[in-house]
Amino acid sequence: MSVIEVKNLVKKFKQPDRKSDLVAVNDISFSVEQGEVFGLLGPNGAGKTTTLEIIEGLQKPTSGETAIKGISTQKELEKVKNLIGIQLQSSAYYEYLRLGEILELFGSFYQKALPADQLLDIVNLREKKKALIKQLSGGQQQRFSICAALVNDPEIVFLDEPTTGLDPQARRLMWEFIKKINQEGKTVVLTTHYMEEAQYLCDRIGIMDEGEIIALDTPKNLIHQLRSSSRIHFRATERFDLEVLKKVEGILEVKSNSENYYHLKVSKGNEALPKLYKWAEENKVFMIDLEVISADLEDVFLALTGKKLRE
Amino acid sequence: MFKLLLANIKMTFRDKQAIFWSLFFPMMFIIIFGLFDFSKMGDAKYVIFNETDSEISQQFQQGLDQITFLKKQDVPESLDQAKSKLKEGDIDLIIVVPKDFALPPAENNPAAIPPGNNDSAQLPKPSPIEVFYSESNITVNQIALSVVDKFIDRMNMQIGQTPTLFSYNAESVQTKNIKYIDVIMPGILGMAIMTSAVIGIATGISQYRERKLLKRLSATPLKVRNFLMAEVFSYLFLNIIQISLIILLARIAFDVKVYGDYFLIYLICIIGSVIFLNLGFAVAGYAKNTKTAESLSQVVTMPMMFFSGVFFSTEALPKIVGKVVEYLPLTPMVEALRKISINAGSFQDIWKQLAFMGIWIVISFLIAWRTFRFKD
Repeated sequence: MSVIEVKNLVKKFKQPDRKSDLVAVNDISFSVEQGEVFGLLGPNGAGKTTTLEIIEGLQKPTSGETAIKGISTQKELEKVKNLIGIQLQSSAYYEYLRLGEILELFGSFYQKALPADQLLDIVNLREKKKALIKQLSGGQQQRFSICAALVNDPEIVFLDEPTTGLDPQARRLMWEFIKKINQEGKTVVLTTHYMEEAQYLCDRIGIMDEGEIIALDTPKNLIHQLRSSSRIHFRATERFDLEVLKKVEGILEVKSNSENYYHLKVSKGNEALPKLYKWAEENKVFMIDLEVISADLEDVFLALTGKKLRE
Repeated sequence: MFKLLLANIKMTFRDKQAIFWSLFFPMMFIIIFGLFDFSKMGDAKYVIFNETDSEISQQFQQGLDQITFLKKQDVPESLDQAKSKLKEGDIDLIIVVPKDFALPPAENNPAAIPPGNNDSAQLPKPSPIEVFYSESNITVNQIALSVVDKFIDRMNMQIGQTPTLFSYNAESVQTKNIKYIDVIMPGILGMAIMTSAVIGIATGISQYRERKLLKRLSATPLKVRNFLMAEVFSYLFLNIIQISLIILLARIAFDVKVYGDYFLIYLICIIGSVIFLNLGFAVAGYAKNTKTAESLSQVVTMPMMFFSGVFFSTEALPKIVGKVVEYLPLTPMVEALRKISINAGSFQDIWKQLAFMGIWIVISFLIAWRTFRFKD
């Protein structure tokens, strides 16, 4: 059952210094299933946040519509607001209120609200209940803003770049919290430009670039769709003809640099590797530092757009 | 909304900066102006060299003693020493009563001269009283000289038995003892409310916007109307505490009395507060960021602080400026507060000012309505 419907969404911004409008979201449609973690992956400026904020009702679309559980965001925003929880990309809370007080205050805006203690427990911040925001570390602040998004016990939670600016350890921890929230039955929609994050957390990923969703599938399928699913790197003791190597079955592309380094693209790593070994033995090529790297979403993005995710 | 109001009040009291500017800053003004003793500034210090102890010179001395404005100082050793003291500004006046400053003998008593005979040239004249003064303090010296002048005139007239035809009764209309601080206190009330409302709302709201708190709030079902009401009511609450503290401090420390009705004082303050809150929202709407909001609210409040009669009368201003100033919202507010506080005015005395402030509520609300945006 889909809980979020997005139909032909378009968002244009007027540019004062230019004649043409900036098209932030260019006619996209997708739906999110109940209970899944859905990710929008793409570089900065791809239109992820704009899409999210239109679904949340924070921005108005130029055309198209969005609905949460069948309720139109554009027509019945009040109802929608009670169903969803939102974490904004960058948003501070009250400077002079303690965490517990902020949660109680925000709870008072909703029809139903969870007690502050229970919310703080979700993100392990119970002992900081009496602290002010400025007394928290960056990671703790981010965790708090996630638990503030859960204040009305929403069915659907929107997280806009929940781990941006965090160190790897804090990011890992955040992933666990997001998984936990999802396991409690909440549908999670998040945006990110970290492909590891999308790969680790998301059941399905929509890859966005320049206002369009250029691919939408499970992380596994997205990678499998690639012509080459792995890369093999090795160093050889002596130089040999690249054309010979290309004739080996399963090897799609061969590149080399002056230091006898060879980079191969193969369709399937587990099939190409034995054949590569056999070829090496037959041709008396001695391979050192051999590594097999499976393709990831970075490769998917590169294959789809010809660009790297973070440039 | 009630919870938000409580939270707002709580936050204000935790914000040390807000507390300083809204509570301690105006109270500092009260203390500073209360400590100035403006009555002292008018004194003229004099020394007198009395070279005779004749009856008349004693009378002269008694006469001088009666004038509270003139303060007698210890006589220096010599006239030269006194003169150098005068030059340094330690004293304002030197009076030298000559040796022959005495009534003439009985046969030459002017009383014995038949009326109509004005040949005063026959009379032996004592040498004149010498007065030295410095030019540096003109007002004080003018007054001191005229006092001496008047005294000598009177003595001449008494001795000459000139009948007193003209006389006057001087009666001070102010029956209360009004000090400068009494005049300043209502002005400080107005200033405190204006600055805390305009600067508080303008910077507070634009900070909320800059930190995306307004955006975060707009993601909740909280209604904009309720948000604004909570802001307004928490500031009104703060203002009531503010003026209570100012009035209390002025009363305890400097015996400043409010002669009129306290209810009217609070009413004027609340009406004024609504005007300035509206202006604060307008500034917050107009300014793109907190820095601009800060300086823009200074631009709004500064001229009123100095021109609307907080510290000195608007009558001291050039005519054109005075005319313009009359239309600023703080001017009628301070006027009304003074009428109540000093003159024990009633509602009838301030209805004009209140009506004017009512117009300002409408104007400021319209400006705020047009410029204020909740989201960015």
